Amino acid sequence: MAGNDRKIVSTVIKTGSYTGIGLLTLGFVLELVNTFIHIKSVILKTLAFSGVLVLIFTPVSAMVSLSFYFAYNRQWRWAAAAAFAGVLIVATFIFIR
Amino acid sequence: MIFLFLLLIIGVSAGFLGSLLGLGGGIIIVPALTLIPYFHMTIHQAIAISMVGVLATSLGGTARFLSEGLTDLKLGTLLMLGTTSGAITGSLLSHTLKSNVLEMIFPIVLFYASYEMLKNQYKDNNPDEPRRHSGAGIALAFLAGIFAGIFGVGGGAINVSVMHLVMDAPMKIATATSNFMIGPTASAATFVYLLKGAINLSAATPVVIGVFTGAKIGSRLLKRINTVVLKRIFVVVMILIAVEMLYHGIKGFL
Repeated sequence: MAGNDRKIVSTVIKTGSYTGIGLLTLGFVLELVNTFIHIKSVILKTLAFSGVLVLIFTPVSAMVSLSFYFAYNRQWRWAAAAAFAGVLIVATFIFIR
Repeated sequence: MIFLFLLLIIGVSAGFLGSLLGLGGGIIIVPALTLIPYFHMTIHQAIAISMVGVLATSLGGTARFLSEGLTDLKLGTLLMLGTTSGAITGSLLSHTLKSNVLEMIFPIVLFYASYEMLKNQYKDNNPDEPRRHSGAGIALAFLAGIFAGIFGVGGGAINVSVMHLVMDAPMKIATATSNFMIGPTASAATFVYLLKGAINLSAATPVVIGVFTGAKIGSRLLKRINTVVLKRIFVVVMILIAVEMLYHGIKGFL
């Protein structure tokens, strides 16, 4: 069972980061192609925006899945700590200006 | 075209150093974007792009560190409680506290941590031994969060030092865990910048792709690099951050 927490968090992070970077790379390639063939700027902006958005929510998803993992294995203190860390991260979304 | 490739190169070097040292990489991105006149960027634009870069460094490095068993998730979660609550406190206090005074105090902490790191450069902690002084670690992480909340930098440097020097984590585990910790904090700041429309997305895209690639290379190197060399590189970067802050603090007084 030891190391499963790492596997879960690693899977979440890999999925999120490769999706986000994939969207950004597609936008980057289209921006390079844009020099020769005109591509609507709204497409490029949407790709970049959604790519960054996926990257933003990846660490939060990792903390949520870590909390669920601890709770599933009845490690209540750690589940509470991970959940509380997640709540604090969401609070920083509000307080950091 | 050259503009995009230059941003890509800056990103690769920031991601490489950031993931290797657990610092994020803002120390390279912000000066490069503001000091190179070719980019015509203000400090605020550069900070916004650097935040996405720090996020990419964390994500790029963490997946590998986790599979290599270098990231201590419980230690990271514990300290994250301190840093995030500190960051909220810092951002709330930033309007009332005199930042010039803090800019003079923070370098002293970094110089002291550098001295301790150099003094113990040939000594590394045992990865199998339990971490100690959890209470002190959380308290120091809280202080690091306050500094990071006020200045937007330096959280990673303090986190690594606290984990290695106070909580007896081995140096490589400390940098890998710090790399995991900076992700959630950077994601919060990036979200705010993105909603405000402060991120120049066409400039941020090549930086982020570069950072992610650099972080992958840096994370591959961490397992192989000699701990003494790692500590020396870390100390040099910490001294650079301290000197830069001290310069700003003194300039603010004059």
